[in-house]
Amino acid sequence: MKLLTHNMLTSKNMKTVTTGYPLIIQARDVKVMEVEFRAEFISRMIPKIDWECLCRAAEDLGHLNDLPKSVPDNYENDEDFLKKAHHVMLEVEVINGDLICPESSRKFPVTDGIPNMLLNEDEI
Amino acid sequence: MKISTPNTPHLAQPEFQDVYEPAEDSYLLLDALEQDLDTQSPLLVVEIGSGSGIISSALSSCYPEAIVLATDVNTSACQATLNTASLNQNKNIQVVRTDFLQCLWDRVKGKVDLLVCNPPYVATDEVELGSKGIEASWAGGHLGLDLTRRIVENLNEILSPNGISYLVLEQCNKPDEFIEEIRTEHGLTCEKVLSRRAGREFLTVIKIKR
Repeated sequence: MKLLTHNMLTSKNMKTVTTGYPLIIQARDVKVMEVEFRAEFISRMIPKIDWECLCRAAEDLGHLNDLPKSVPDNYENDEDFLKKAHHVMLEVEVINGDLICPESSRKFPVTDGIPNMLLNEDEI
Repeated sequence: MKISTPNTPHLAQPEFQDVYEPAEDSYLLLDALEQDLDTQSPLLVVEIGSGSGIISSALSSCYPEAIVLATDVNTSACQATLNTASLNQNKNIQVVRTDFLQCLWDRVKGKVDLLVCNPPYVATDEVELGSKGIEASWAGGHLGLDLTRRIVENLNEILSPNGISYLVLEQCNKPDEFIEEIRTEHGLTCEKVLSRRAGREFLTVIKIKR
């Protein structure tokens, strides 16, 4: 599960939950892999992600480094920034661990990089 | 746009016996996508019910500049999708086990550029619904439209402004009536892309957008 994907996951569909975001990551196995850098993809993706959630997740995994706390103006032309964003969004993967709902503490396991977000009938 | 059929030899393994093996409906969808997808470059591609992963893998190869979110309720299908991606060198697929994008909804609504689904389209009793195993790949409830209708009802919310959706229908779904329903009740544009007879089934791929 890349952090880009984690950025899209919520537990809001649980009946007791109001926001359910961001999910807290408790990782057991994290993998860092090289992914081809595509400036345009990152640039187009930035407006669609929650930057604060991305930073928090990167920090939890020990990969925050010098990632800026907020998206700079003119980020589309800032290759240095885009590369840092690329690394965090696409190159850091949680292979095994849990995602935890911040409101209900319900754990969603991540196994082999696949988050299991399926709820039980009584949770919906 | 040329689409190569992804390799899926791993589906023969016993751990994937519960996964829908690509069949005529899968290949029809691939052909329809190959024929119809233009050079528009989607950013966010989503598949509901990825099964073997064959469709997500093909889309991933088509659009290396996108992120493909493949979802399924079936654990084996999720694993199969991951294996298909790996085997076909797809670097931009992510797999999530979820029911109908529930865990993604709040964050992807209004952002999905391409939504694809080869749904469980067989007409069955309501009692056959709710499975997370192989039945989930074909049990479609009343008129076989349970999931399909649910997708259509939510398209206005989930698609990006120029987003497009491709769905597979079978004749038991009463496609002409359903297409009319899509147009009149949801105000969407809908057209047939490709049809084909496959044994006792007559399949049609439809394309829906605003």
